[in-house]
Amino acid sequence: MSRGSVLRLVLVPVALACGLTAEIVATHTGQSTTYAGASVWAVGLELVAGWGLVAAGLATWQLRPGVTGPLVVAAGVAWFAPDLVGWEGGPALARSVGMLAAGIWLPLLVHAVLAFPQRGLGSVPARVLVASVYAETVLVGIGRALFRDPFDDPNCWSNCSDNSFLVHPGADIARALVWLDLRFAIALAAVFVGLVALRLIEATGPARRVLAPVLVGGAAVTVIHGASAIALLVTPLEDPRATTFAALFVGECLAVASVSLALGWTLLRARRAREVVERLAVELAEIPQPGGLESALARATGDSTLTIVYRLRGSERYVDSEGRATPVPSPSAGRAVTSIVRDGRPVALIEHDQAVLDETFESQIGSAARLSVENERLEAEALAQLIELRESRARIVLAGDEARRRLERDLHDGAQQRLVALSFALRLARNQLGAGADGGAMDALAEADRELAAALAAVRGVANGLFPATLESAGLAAAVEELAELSSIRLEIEAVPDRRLPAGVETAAYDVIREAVENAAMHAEATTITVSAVCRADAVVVETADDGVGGADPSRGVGLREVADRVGALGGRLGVLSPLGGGTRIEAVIPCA
Amino acid sequence: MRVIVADDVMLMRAGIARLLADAGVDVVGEAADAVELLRKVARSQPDVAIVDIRMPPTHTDEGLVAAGEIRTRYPDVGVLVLSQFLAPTYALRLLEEHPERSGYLLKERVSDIAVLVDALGRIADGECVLDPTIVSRLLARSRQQEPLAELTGREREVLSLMAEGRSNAAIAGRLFVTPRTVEAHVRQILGKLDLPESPDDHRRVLAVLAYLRS
Repeated sequence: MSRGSVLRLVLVPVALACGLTAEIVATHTGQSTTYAGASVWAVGLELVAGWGLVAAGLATWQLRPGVTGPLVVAAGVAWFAPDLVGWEGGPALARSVGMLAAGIWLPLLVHAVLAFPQRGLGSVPARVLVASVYAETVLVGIGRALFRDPFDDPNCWSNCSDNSFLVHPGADIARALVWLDLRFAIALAAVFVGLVALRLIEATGPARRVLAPVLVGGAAVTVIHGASAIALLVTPLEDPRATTFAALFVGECLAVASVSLALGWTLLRARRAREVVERLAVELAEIPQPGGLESALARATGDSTLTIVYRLRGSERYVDSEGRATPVPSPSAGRAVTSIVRDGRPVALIEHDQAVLDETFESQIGSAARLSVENERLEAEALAQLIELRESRARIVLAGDEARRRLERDLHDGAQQRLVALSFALRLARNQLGAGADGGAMDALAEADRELAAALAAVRGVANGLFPATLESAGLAAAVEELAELSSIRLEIEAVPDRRLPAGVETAAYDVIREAVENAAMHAEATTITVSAVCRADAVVVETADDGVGGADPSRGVGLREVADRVGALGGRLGVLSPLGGGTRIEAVIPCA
Repeated sequence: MRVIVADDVMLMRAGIARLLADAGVDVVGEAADAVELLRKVARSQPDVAIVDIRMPPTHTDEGLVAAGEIRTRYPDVGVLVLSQFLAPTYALRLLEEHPERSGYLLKERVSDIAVLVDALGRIADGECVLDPTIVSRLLARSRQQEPLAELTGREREVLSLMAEGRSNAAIAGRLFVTPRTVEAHVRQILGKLDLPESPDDHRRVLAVLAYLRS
């Protein structure tokens, strides 16, 4: 057992004893010299506030690093000191020590609250404030111990007889110290509230949620303390039975208790986060599926809407577990974003219900979880690259189509049109030569005309092979019909969608059909080929079947492989079934998202 | 006969115009795109507008759209669409929407000036014209091969000419037979194919085409 734990164990009975002693004193001899003595309610409230501080302080001390825990325990013990002062007929030394210690709980609590939840106070203003509260309390405490003779104090109430430390009765000094103390209490309230407001404004969302309860509780304590000082400026004689003072005492007890509650709530939250981490470790012990981290986290936190995204190395882009690009999540109403950091840079962002994880999560997840985050991130990265590759493949195919289309158009608008124009010129020449012209010239012109027609047909064939103009202009159905017109074997068109499809899909579907028809006509000795293209929900399914000799091998035929590549580039697949003597069936599924 | 020629390629435009002028047709205007075509049709109200199906800006079916618009806005102006598309889709689209004074010829046909002038004349007379190549392919590829096989050779010839949009009189003239003989053939054909008789030539063409396509 560590030294801290022993100390904490010892402090429990000490705190209990302090509280009990205080309340016994108050209820037996302090009916008019203590607040607790004034009513049974006050006894309860005072115990709740003091013991609450001790309990919350001990728990914080145990579970969190930093000075807040010990300070709160000390404040809780010191909280009971004022009752000692009002011990009518008690030992003078005890009453004098009580007077010395009566004010010390406040600087301890202020320090504890401002030091929460970090290890230190942080900002310079906070340090200055805490230092000055300590200094003022010590100054006033010691000053009054040395120079205040209770007999001379017209406003004395809790102790008008004993001061064991008095060295020189000085009523002026004592008055000056009271003057200072009251004004300082008011100033403290104002400065503290300002500091708290500043901290809450500066804090980020999740940190603010952790800080706010404790800071606001602390602010309430200083505000009530300041209000008491104002009451004393108005009515210098403090009377625990007067309504104003009794109410202020109740308020102070409640404010102090709220600090304890806030500390306890914070600890519970952190514990829940730890439980999440522990459950996560159990979840991850099972072999995770791809994308399993997200569901493991969702199960561990109980937040089914939780999502996790991964940062791509060397960029600020994020992808989900399947590698799809996602926008960077940002906190919104009720939703928070927790980042998993590695080497000072976020590798993953978790978007979740703000109640299920807190800022401690990132620091608490173990190496197993980090490893699976890294695994999953690598996997997501690989998938993202795959997606990128597929997209670039599709882009290359589409760019090729576009180039073919441009060539076809150039050919059509250039060479083809000029040849047709030339045929007109020939026709005119023949017309002008007239019927009575030289037979040889007429024959030569007729020969030129035939050659020209052949040239035209050849150019048209090349252009159509590059990119069928009908496909671009009229769509798949018309292009397949035209293919049927031009092919040497019989083409049975069972179904082809009339509506236009995305250009890449149309071209791929057409290429599959054209390749199938060419294979059937040139290699398979087929006489008939049936063709169908059907639009499903998100894909076009192209099927062809011929009655040829079969035996087509996609791994050897260049054409079929090219078509398979083209279909694959669009994320589709092509299957060929071609048993020897059993005809050839081709099926292509082309996604049209 | 007054015609306007619309084609975005100047060589083609000029070539067709010269051929037509040479054959005694009065070319009253040329247009490079659909907008210019519509403007010139509005101004000079020709008998027929010859329209290339591919015109700017997209070079797909602007010519067809312009032809439809001319038929709708100027009922007396006929249109002859020149196309390089073998597929009957566009031709049927045009003829189904505007069976009167409309024609669809493959572009390669125009160097045979006699065919072009004949088509222009028929359109000006209110008939419709469908390219013989498209008709013969429709016949060859039709799924109704069994009923078609019952036709005699002469009946098939008559059916082709019907599908090209010719009237009984024109068919008679072409086959060197009397109109009464043609009428008899037509009745036979319609009976064998189970098509209704229709006094209206346009409706008859559409019925035949629909039958061949079904």
